Amino acid sequence: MRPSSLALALVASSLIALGGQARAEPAEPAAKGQPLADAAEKRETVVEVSVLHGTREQRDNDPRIGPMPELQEGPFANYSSYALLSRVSLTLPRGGKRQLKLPNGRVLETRLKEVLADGSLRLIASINRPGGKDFLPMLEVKARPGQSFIVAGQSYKRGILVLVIKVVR
Amino acid sequence: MKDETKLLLRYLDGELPPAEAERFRARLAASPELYRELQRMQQVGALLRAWSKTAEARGAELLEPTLRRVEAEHDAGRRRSVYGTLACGLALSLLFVLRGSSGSLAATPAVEHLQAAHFLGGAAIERVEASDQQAQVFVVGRASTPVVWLADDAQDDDGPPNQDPG
Repeated sequence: MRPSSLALALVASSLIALGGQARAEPAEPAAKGQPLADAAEKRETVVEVSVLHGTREQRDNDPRIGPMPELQEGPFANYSSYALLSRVSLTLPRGGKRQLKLPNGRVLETRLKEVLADGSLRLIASINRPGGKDFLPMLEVKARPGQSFIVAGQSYKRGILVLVIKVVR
Repeated sequence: MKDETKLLLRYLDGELPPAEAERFRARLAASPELYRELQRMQQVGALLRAWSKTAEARGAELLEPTLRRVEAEHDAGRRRSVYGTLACGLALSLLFVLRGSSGSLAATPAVEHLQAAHFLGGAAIERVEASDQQAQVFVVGRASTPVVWLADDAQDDDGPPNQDPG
């Protein structure tokens, strides 16, 4: 495609995209980083929580974990092997909470705080033991679909728990 | 940062005058909790030093992964509120801080000075409230995956507490 055609195509596609956005958001378009109060916000958000158990046992990582080079780095590398204990998908309505009981008795609670105009999500997570001492009272994360964050360090069976929380959509 | 934590960091750095260090050693001997805190800091310090050496050896990959220890700030409710900045530039500058910090974590910048909340590549930890345990925030991997690592005082069913991040 010649440069002029490319430019024309870009302009045309931008106009189409802007037109679509104007229909979805009749009010002023939300600025980047601000909450998006339209249909996109009402879509289901799904996060996938993988619970890994890191130990010093000399064996291969659980193949069900999949490729995860992060486990070879930093403090993760101090554990010889990782096993996948569970992997669950949690559907999060905006403002709604989902809880996941962890193997050590604590509960991971995840909440979708808001959907931002740039498509990223603001999530709140906490890990506490019912009736017990707080472990992680609050963690606020901004992530796009496809991105993950990790909460690690909980003691479990001579090793640690590694929670990999991935925003699926 | 708690005065006690500052004292610990200064002790680990060898910055305490001899008499004060002697008094602090006496306090350590009398307080298992304080001694445990010292051990934790030593473990984390060793980890940081080891990783910073690894990162240095990786040459072009110095940018990532980058380790960031976030100091926690106690509020009135004994919770520590941490506002993490893990922007790549800051992370890089931190690496230099870590590389220059061969003795302890004392050179780590105070977390309250951090403002931004974006990773260039991955998700962003915007806020962490930990209890009274030590919290670290850092990124790993080419995707700059953010990690919150918390020391755990809880007892396992079949083993001692695993507080060792390193």
